Amino acid sequence: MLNIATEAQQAALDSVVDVVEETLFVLSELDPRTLPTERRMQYSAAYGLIRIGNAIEQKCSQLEQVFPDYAWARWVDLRDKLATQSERISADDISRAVTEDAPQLVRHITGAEPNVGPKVRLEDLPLDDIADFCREWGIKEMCMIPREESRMYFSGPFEGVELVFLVKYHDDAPGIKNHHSMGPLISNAIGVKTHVGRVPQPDSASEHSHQDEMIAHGVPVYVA
Amino acid sequence: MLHNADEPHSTWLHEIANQATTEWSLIRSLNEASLRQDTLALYAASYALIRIGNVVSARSRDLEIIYPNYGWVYWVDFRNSLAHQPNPHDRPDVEDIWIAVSQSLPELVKVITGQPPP
Repeated sequence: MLNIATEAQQAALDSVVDVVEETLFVLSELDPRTLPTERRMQYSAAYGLIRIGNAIEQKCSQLEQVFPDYAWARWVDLRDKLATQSERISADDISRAVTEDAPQLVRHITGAEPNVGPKVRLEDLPLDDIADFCREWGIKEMCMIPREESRMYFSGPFEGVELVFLVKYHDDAPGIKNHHSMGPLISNAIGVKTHVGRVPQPDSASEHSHQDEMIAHGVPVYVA
Repeated sequence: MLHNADEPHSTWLHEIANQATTEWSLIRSLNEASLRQDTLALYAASYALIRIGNVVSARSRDLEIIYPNYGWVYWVDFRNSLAHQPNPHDRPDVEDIWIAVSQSLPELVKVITGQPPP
């Protein structure tokens, strides 16, 4: 089916896809084999589904104009059930929504598989190579930021990005003048497409103080 | 509160205390660091708190009249804020969740039953 979207409608579609992919990324750590029996996992999934329902409800009229045959209201109904009823939604329904319906929603909109991407873990990282990289470019501190958090703070683009690092430089570090190249350079060095954000030097930090907070909550991968 | 409640208030309070205790058993092992670092844990806690908000919400107007000294509306408002984030990209506020898990939830059980949750 060819669906022509206006700019506003496309923005609405992109926004929904973004939320669904973020949610699937977070939920990708859940084990689908144990989801039907593990209650806390079901809760995590249920909240993810509420987020998807919220995103769809906010853009519903635009979504319906582009894809009138898709059952958008089903997601909002599911959100309403999860968000307002004390009775538990069946584990099978939650599991199906996460493992089948949400990926299918992305395919319906984009024609492609969800861009969830593998979650790179600390133990998967070549820490020696990263340390060499940090020393070469005068990086004082580097931490790994969960991708779904980083989207709130950095402007992207994030297509295909599997890792997000936040760095603090030493004063006069060579990396400061070449910061825009840090992402591609470290991507080549470690073989994973990486976005690198920066905590500004102390004299210009006021408007980015949230990044100091982020680095405190990120996973440290290098400290000089 | 529970020991001197008449029906149907006693049943309502039992329902709320049971729900709160059930959710407590699921999320009591969480701490602030895990909520910050583990989005799955943050999501699980958020949904558990939504469920408490749901059961309180069903009786909150009556309870506010009968037991005006307890802030029932907190749970309803909190449920609404968690379930209807204006920006779908926003995560629940970790500090708010942590206060609810570590203080408000045990306090709710204690206010109703006279005992903190097990």
